Amino acid sequence: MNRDDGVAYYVYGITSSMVGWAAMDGMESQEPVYAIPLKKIQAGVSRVPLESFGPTVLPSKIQDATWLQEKVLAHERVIRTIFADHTIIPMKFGTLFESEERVQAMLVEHYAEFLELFGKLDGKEEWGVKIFTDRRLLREEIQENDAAIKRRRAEIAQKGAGAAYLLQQKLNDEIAVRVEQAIVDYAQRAYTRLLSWAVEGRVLRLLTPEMTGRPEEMILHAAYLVEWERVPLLLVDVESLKAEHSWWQVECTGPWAPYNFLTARAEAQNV
Amino acid sequence: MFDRAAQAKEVTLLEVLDRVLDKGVVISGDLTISVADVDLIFLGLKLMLASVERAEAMHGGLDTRTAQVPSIV
Repeated sequence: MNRDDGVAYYVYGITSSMVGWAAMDGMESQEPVYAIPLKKIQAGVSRVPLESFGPTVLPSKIQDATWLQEKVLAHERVIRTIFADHTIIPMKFGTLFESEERVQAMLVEHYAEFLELFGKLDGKEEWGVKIFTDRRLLREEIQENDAAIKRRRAEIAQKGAGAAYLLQQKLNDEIAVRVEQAIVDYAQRAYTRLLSWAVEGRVLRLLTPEMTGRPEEMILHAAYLVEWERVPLLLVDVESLKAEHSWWQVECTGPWAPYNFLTARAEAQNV
Repeated sequence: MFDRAAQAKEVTLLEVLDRVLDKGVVISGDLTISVADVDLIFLGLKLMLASVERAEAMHGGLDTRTAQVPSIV
């Protein structure tokens, strides 16, 4: 129980003491996950070697994409195994302690906070929603359906070449502004509409095409904390959102452990 | 009680990374390092991610619900 040579304690998450942390594989195949209890709660931990996770080594280890990916997936797999049946407070990747005593001290220090969080998270799960758009298709739709734009285009067609060019440039700029505004409006409306099925929502940062590896532009990235019983309602509404526009793609993922809802008080948020 | 597992949707590796590296309760442990610049890590991973996700798509997706997250090399 003292600080072992060459070993650190990796904390995956916190559960109530009623939850059995079965001996599953964690970060390292030879070091199963187990629980360190304190009164009504417990921390799920496993031992990890300092030669990989030590403070001087880890910053360079995480630059190794293959290693990082394997460890991140191991972290998520542990969280998911528990989360399938129980409420869990997931830790951020890389939460490490020198000894079991230090883990216990952390539980003591944050005990009230964790209990409060369990009260909020019990019976709920996180769902993620992303909306992508093809700006070109949206622009076409706006141009085809907007009477004022159609009229202006007809007027431009009557002008001489020089005047037509300038007017067309001006119209193009205005259409670009309309497209931008439409994106903001539709994203906001979709976010708010889905929020009605949730206890809380979060607007997450938009991921670039570089990150997502797909050409469409992300216009909404959100997470919702949803009561189990309300999840089917959310999913049905997502399906109907999908069908509303040909120029967007609505994607929904989950259930997730409540990664985005780990503050004790609800926070109001706008797009 | 409805079947929670039956509703599970496929998740992407990117989303797992985004949550595990960037979200979760932040408790500073004795040895905790700060994964400070997740954006940089993402960009470093992006090429590999894109190829992995294509490979995953061909193999029917990353079904993390079953807790059988494949180790991807």
